[in-house]
Amino acid sequence: MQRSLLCAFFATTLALAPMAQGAEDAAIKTKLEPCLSCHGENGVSTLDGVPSLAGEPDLFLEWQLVFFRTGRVKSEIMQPLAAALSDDDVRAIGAYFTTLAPLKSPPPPDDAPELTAAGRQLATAQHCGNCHGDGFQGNQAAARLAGQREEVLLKALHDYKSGARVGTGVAAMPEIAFPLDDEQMRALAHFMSRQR
Amino acid sequence: MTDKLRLAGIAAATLLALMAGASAQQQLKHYDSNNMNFWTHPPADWFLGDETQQQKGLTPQANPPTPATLAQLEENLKKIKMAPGFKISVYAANVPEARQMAWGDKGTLFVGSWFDAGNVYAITDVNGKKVTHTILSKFRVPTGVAFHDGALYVADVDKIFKYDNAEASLDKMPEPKVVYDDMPPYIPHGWKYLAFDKKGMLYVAFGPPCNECLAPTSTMQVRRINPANGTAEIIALGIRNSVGGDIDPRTGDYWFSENARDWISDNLPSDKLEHVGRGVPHFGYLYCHEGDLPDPTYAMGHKCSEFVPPVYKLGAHVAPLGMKFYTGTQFPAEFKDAIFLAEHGSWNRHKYSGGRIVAIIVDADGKNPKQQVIASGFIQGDRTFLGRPADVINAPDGSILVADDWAGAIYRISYGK
Repeated sequence: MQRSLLCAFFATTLALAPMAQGAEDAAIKTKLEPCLSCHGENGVSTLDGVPSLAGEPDLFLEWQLVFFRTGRVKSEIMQPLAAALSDDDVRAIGAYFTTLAPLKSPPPPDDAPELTAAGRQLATAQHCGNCHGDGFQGNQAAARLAGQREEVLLKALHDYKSGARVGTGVAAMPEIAFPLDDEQMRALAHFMSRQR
Repeated sequence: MTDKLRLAGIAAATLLALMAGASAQQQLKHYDSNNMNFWTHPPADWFLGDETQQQKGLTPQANPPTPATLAQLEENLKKIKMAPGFKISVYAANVPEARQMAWGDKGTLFVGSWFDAGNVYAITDVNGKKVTHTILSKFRVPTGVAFHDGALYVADVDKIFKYDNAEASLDKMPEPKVVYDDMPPYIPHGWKYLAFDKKGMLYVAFGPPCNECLAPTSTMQVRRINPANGTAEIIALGIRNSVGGDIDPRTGDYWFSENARDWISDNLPSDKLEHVGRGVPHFGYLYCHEGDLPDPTYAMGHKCSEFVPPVYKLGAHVAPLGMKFYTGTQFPAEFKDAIFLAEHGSWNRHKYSGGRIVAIIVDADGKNPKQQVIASGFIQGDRTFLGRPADVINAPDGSILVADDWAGAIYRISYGK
């Protein structure tokens, strides 16, 4: 319950100016090429360690780009790319990827059903849905977890636990990740990656 | 869109359930904030350490990741209600997390910023358009800026920097001189505001690194600092979080705004406007709030009558920040020497208060205070920000400028024209 209220306060007021989708796409296409080359032509990543962006909430994407641009989150690959982005670019990129269809094809046969079961229980106990949505599809500054690459989710949890990543100002994720052990983080990552 | 509305609805329903007391008793977060480890290594959510059942769940909102576009700002300003005769417009957009402002001698507007960015900006006029330059970077929280005798001063958490000949060096700022660093290193409530008096002395407030605690003795005070030689005097004690102050042109006295403690209730205690008159006044923190409310835990045998009460109670959780005595002649005569004050708006209140520009007309000795609301509506509904005013400054033409660290913009409030 505490986290649902935390989540309410992720609801920022920065409503973006309405986009004429076709015109905006054309303008942003050149900026997107380096993104698509790693994150996938349709925003669904097939590369180990590279997150899918399709269907991520707009604000979440904007925040990650700003974090990379300011160096608050360290990434040798993303930092120089983000440094070249203006605020308009950040907003346009967020607006673009959020409209792409997230991964919908069913997950492969479950090679660790006990992890999935444990992850489901943990997700309920930790109230992940309060901020990330009932279906973990994301909301405002809280990421879409459903269908995200498993190793990306696992690294994120480790980074929040270690403080390599802090998230937006309210500090919810470090608080949540801190008491999790390796087994619990593996279970959550495995479960979330299999949601659609 | 429907998802967002539904989630907002769920969040709102949950909040209502909490308010109705329908929820089961939950573990309250508690930090012991009376120790050096807390002050030097505050948890990321240090401000939640005194939470109560009644107010559980309230937490500061994160700023938007990028400044609002000009189009969005103009939409927002249509929703701002102005006192009769006053108008508001965009002075400059794209000033991320804009905080304190300071004029250079040649018309440059220097602007400090909040967390995340760590930048200091300079806004200049280029062919009739306002252009924002990032002139300095890599500070931690450079909220405080001031200009004096050709030099730009920037206050980070524990250092005050001086940049000589600043306006001629915007493209390549000189190496700064550290003019003062006998300062506590604590980040909570460590963000600064700078005020110069006519003699070149700097007035700086130092806040406790906690909500309510027996904080280090280097905090909870206002100092008058001589940047020429690094000497300083304590001029006021017993203050909590002050991020705004100015010299009264009538007397030379220092006045300041102060944010009172959190986690008592939605309506207590009030934030304050204070006047430093004779002696070295003690304004009550941590023992007594708003002049008349002994702290439930930390009164420690003190009576509120021992301390100097505020000149004016600004209201609970309005979050007063930057302020200036009005020195122009554009506004009606009643506003001569009035204090114009930026209210940042709440985080620790179910229905946010503040989010306004107010004017307090008050005698030089602190008597007969009267408040008028000049601009309101930066908070819409219960907890939605269009913007968060952080500072005001007199502009040469008699208007005032307002810095907004949420929308990342500077506004101009004018009268008549």
